[in-house]
Amino acid sequence: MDVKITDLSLTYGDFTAVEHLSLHIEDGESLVLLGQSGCGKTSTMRCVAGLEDPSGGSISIGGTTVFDAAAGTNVAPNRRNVGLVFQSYAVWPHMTVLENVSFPLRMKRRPKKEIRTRAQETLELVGLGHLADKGASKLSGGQMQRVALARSLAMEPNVMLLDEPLSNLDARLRDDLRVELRRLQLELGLTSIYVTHDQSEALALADRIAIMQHGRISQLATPVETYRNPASASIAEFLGVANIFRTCAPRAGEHRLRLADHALEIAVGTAVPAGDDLSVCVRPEHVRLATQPGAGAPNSWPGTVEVSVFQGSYARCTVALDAGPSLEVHTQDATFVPRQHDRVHVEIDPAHVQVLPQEVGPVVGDGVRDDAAPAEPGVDDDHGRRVVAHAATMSGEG
Amino acid sequence: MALLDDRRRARGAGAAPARTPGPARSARGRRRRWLPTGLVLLVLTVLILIPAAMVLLAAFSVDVPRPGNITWDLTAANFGIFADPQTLRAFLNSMVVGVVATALACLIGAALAFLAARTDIPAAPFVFLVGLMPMFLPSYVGALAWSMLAGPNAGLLNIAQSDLGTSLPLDMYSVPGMIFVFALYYSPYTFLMVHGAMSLMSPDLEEAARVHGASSRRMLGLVSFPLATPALIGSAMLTFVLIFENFPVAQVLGTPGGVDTLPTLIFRLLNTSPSRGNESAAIAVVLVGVVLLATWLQQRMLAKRSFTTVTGKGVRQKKVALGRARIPLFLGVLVFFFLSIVLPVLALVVVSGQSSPYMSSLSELAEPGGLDFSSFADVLGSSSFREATWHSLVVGVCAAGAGVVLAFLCSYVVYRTKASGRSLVEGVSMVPLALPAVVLGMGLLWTWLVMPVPLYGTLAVLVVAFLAVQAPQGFRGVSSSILATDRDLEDSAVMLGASRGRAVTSVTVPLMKVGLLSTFLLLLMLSMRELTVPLFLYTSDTEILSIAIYDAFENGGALQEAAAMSVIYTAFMFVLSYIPRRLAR
Repeated sequence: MDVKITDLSLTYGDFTAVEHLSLHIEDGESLVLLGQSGCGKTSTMRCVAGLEDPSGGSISIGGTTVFDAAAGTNVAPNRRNVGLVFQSYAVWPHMTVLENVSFPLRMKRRPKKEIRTRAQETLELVGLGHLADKGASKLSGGQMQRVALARSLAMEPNVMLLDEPLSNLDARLRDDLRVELRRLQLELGLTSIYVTHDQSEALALADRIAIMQHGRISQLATPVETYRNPASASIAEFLGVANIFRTCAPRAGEHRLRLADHALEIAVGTAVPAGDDLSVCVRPEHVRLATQPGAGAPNSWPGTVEVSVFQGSYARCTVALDAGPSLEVHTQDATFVPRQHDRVHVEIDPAHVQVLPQEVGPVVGDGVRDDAAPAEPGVDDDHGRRVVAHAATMSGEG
Repeated sequence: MALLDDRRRARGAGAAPARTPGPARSARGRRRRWLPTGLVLLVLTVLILIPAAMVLLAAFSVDVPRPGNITWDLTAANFGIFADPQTLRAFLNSMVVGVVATALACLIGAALAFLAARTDIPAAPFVFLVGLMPMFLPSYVGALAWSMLAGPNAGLLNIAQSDLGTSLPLDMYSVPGMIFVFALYYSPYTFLMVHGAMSLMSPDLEEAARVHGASSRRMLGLVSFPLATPALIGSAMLTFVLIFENFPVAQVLGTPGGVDTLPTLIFRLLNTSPSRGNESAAIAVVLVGVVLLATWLQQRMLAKRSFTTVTGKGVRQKKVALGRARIPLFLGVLVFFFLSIVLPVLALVVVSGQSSPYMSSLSELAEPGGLDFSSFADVLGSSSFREATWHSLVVGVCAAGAGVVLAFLCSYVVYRTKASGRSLVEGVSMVPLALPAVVLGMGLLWTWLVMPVPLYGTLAVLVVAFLAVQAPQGFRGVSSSILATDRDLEDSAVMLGASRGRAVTSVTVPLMKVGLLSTFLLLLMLSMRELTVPLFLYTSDTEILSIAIYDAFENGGALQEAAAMSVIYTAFMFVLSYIPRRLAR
């Protein structure tokens, strides 16, 4: 069922965890709340679950209002039929696996026989059919995670909430379970809200990603869109864009920008938007290394490799440009592994240079930005999100 | 994906919701948030705050509270009692006994803790038990036993001295005597806390000191001991407060020798005829003041330090080699064991079997008929002993059961809800810590005399009194258990369709089973050994075991009976203390 959050606020004393947040999650959609710890993503999710008392706004699930501050509505969490997989799993150690999974069905007072078959079926679904009678405290982390998932699935929830469910697992298991979670979510058509601080998890699991900063949503878009066009430099930094440099205030319409802290000019693919606080952002994998200076290339600078680490499919190195700044580089070609102190030339295609404001205001509704941004030559994309610099989308990837 | 995009586009982008101004906190909401705290606070107020207020009122008024007659004529004249030299002497005695005995108890406790936790002393588990055991012997039973051992006239040790021809006059009925007994029986508090700090200390911290060049000795001096000082300071303050406010030991040892401490003076003034209740309340207020000051000092000293160095992993560290001191130190441990447990228990057994109260040589015990343990049969057969035991059990079980329920409610409100006034609940639960048993006993007496409920003179009033006295221990026990139980476990039951009450009973309580049970046993044990508070509240129909022993001893003539009961009582307490330790494993 769809979830509609309207103007939600949550405060603890003086601290505002969630601030005027609005969000609509479609039926069957997987929405990921992505952000750093303390950004309010878990609080938002717990409001939907009914475990927090918001100070304002309303929440409805499948058209039924479960919370409305103005009307004084607050449906108890056990009456919302919302599944929640906790970060700590919260699998009850004093019960067996089957008892854990049967619990929601017992609460719904289903017949005994049905409880047993349904619980067993759900366990099969997550691949734990053989462990039904095992004590829950004897399970491994990955197994507990599956029990927690099965327990919530067994209740056939209107919405499934997942609070960093994979963060306590080791990297390999996390990758496997990520794929499995996505398969289950699509297969069962679950409406789900998934909270994480891991960008690759978000990209893998989401239909849409809502990036949260300071209790607000600062970008709401599909994973592909989010990855290609972060709305601000701080979002870009969070998404792994390692090379971010502040620029001097440019003149609108120019195609070159001067860095604020270094004597370096960088050519960009599109006309530069107006604004004071702009940064240029370049993903490490978009920086090329060459042994010779590129003839006539617009962004080509000499530099020295400071450190180089071989990562298997690529090499990761830091190059100190003669002109000052250091660049983070991921080489695409695993056969070329630079060594420390090597002299190299660094090239950046202007189409890969994004020019972004440092911060952006919150989006409200479905992707509409709230702040009154100055008029600028940026283009509004189809989601109503103002695209500040179009460089990446025009680079032939889209 | 394309489909989703289309849907989103179709919905358009202009639907920004209207904003409502800030949250309107309704009166109903406020009432809802005060309801749970209000209910437990009401109970705690009746149990704890009203008795405390009674004492305060009595200290500043011209008459003590009586049924149907609480006077509000306020005066400060009651504090004139401090001009009386006997009060000043009692205050001085309390201070001297408190400070010196605390220092000794801490020294003994910390030394035993270090030996048991960190050295290669022989039989380390035994040393641990030696450090702990005095706790299981109620301190006033220890005092009783030592008065039998080293009373100035008929003390067994003094008789033995005349046998041996030595003449070291041992007199327990004196300030040094009290200091000696307090130091023995209050050392386990330091022992436990320092032992905890020393054995839970992360070995990484010590190994880091070694790696960075410290010798084993310097490591101990610069890292290990400083890390244990918060525990030492904490336990020193606790020990001081416990000794300073202790009534039974001072009553058993001090009163016969004419040595008063503040608690015995309070008790004596209250029981003289005519009763000087207002003046004893005034002394009580000063007593509470000193306790609060000590507690405040402790908080201040500890606030600057951090306990976070203790990881709680319980990893085995390297043992310090004692070398040549190994055997002498072990002998020292044996001497402590002998003085704190073996000799006193032996004395109780001997006295319970001593057929003649007048004895000039220990050899008389070996003569036929010299030792006669029929007193045990007499005691066990007597209806008054059986009644007192039955009363103790009933009161203890009811008080512990109700105490755990109350503590659970308080802890739940404090740690699991967002109700307003939570810290107030915790604060009031802890108030009895600052109220010496004599003070609380006095307040409870006046309260339940005045209250228009016919509780005074029944066993129920003892249950209510124990509930008040043990509220802090109950709250601590249950709240540490509730904090150790992840709240997600309960929340997930609610998310899966259980009501909050159902989630508590089917998930939270079963998971806290061990914690609740060991708190129950702790409260039961505390109820069984509490003497001071019931001393104010018992009547001849509601005598409990601790009172029965005290009575038999104070009446002098029944010394043999008192000793026999003490032996049975001590055996019982050992069993009761042993069960929770088994449970904890």
